[in-house]
Amino acid sequence: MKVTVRFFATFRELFGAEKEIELESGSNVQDLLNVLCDSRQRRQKIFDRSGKLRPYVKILKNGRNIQFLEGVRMELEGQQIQFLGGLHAGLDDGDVVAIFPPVGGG
Amino acid sequence: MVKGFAGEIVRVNLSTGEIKKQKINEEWARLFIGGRGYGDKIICDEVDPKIDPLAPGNKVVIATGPTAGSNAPTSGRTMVITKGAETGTIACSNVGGFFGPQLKQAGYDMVVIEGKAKQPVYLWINDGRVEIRDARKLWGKKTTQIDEMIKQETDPKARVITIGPAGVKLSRIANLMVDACRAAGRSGVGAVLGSKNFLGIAARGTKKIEFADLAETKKAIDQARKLIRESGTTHETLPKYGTAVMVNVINERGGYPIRNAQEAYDADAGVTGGEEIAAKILMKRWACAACPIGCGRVTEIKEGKYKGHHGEGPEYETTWALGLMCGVHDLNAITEANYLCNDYGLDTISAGGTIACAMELYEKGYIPEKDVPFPIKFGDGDTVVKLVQMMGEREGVIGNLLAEGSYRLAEHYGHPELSMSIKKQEIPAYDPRAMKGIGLNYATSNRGGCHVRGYTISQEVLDWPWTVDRLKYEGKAELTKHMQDFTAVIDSSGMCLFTIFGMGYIRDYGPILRAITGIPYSDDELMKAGERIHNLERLFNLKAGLTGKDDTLPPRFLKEPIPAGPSKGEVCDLDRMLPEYYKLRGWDKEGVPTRETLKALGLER
Repeated sequence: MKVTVRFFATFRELFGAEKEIELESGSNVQDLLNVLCDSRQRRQKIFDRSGKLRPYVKILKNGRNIQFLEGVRMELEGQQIQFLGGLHAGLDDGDVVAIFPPVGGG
Repeated sequence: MVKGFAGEIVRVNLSTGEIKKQKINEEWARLFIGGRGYGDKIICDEVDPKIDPLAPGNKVVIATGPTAGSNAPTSGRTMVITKGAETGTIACSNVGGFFGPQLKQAGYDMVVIEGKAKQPVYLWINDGRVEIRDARKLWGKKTTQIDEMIKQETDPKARVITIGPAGVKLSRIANLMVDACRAAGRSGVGAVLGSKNFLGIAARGTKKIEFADLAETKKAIDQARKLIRESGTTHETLPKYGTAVMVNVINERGGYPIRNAQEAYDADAGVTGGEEIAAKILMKRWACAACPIGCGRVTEIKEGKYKGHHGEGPEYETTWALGLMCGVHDLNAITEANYLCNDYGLDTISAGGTIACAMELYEKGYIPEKDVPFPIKFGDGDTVVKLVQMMGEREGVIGNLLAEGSYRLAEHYGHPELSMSIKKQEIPAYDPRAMKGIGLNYATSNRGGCHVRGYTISQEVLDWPWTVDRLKYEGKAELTKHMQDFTAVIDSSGMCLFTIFGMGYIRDYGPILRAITGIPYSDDELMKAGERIHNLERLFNLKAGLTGKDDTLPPRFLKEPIPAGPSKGEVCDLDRMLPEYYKLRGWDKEGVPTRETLKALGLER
């Protein structure tokens, strides 16, 4: 599947403005970021040393903050588990992901 | 004796020519902080809320806050408080630049303009001396010319605030320009000054401001500057891209009002955004007094029919209002229209919102062809430029109506519902259907359609200093009240609202205010002062004849779902937030503060 990724403000300097990324079906936002962060510099911009998303990185999927999206649903030992969104938010073909540094103004 | 203040207010009665000085009321400094809050108190005590805003009995307070003249970050703000010509509500328009500290160092925290001059005048305040001067030669000139001419007549180092031709012609969306490039834009404060035959003020001052505790002041300011330095927003993206960095931020969420808010997303909106401005027209950044951020844009148009024109802007609100709100993607035309608004002294938000309203009225066939000299359709940047000129000059039938703002224009043609305004003031660049809290703030702001009275966007969109879901209604009443009260404190302190992108909490402001003034208000008492200020303004509006029924949004936002984009299908259901908001405020079901609430705030008669 293909997703469109858009970068804004200072992130454009490192990642470019927009790109289409081919991902395996069933991928989530974390998988997408792993593909995008293909150099040390890019990875450091998005993740901290322990591999956690830096708090200032804001990610939208189709205009929605990934924090407020639901993650994948799966069955574990006979029980339905609903993961929270964030980096676990699932992606579908044609999704648009927007990634921002800290911004404000207005 | 409270410190931090210059200690005196100067009152100028234009009808009699009398100039009076008055000591700062220390009790008011504690209860209303200064700036906006203190100015509100003067207007509420002295101006009949039912008065015609353009009558000589209206007054204008031009105020600084207690931080002005210090090195507190962004502390150069000037506030203009009056009964607004556009809204009929109490108006407080807040502006940066360098005038505020000059006024204070000249010896005055505030100037109160009263009455009406027989002929155009301006004020020259030079290190304590106050002089009313003839402004006939300057009356009706462009703001950039006036700024230069007044400096020639007074002192090249003076700082100037002035109305332009729009204020002279009593346009209800006229502003007051500071340093010819920053605007006290909203609510029609420029028309009120114009109605008094009052052009503006030049100020020059060299006095030092005394602080209560110099060591603590330095410590508190150092800490505030550190917070601003450590924030990616205030340290990197705002300086680099200016406020228009917000274009993509809001458009990507599908909350960017387009073509008079008939839509809320445009795939190409980015061509009018901060990244493009930085790449195409930015010459250099511009920072106001004591500001470490520097979000101002000094620009020059590099190509096309406006090539070579230069000035300041566009800001986020401006690139939107004169751009996509009118269906326009042409950054050069947007920038030209911005320069013209600055020259005429027109509020860019209301100018764009009014033109967009006219375009929808025209396209729907409600404006007859005889009233317009050319078709006024969405999408053409040159049309926007021409309409700004006509608005500034009150030229022809349509120019005259545009100068009155969108509500009066739409009402004239029988369709007030097509004015995207609240309390007759045009909305800024956030669609309340896509961000519910800002809808509640628009509805309850004491000056109508306005984002900077309670910037819930910080939490709903920018995830700062905490995050809430922009599409949920729960918690928005509390958030809106918090941001409104917090903002009233920041405004009254004399600092810029943009500090919140580094200093997110009252605890970041309290130490500065305490150290500078010596007033031992706690952080909680400061927030209570913010609440007091909000309620005081509310009382003025209620006495002016507004009611809870005015706490609403244009029907489009309440009923018409966003047609496409990331927020497709959304409306703003105010009824899910407003009753809770009234309750949290301690107001009755009609939106009137209860006796207990007023007593608790010390506002009962």
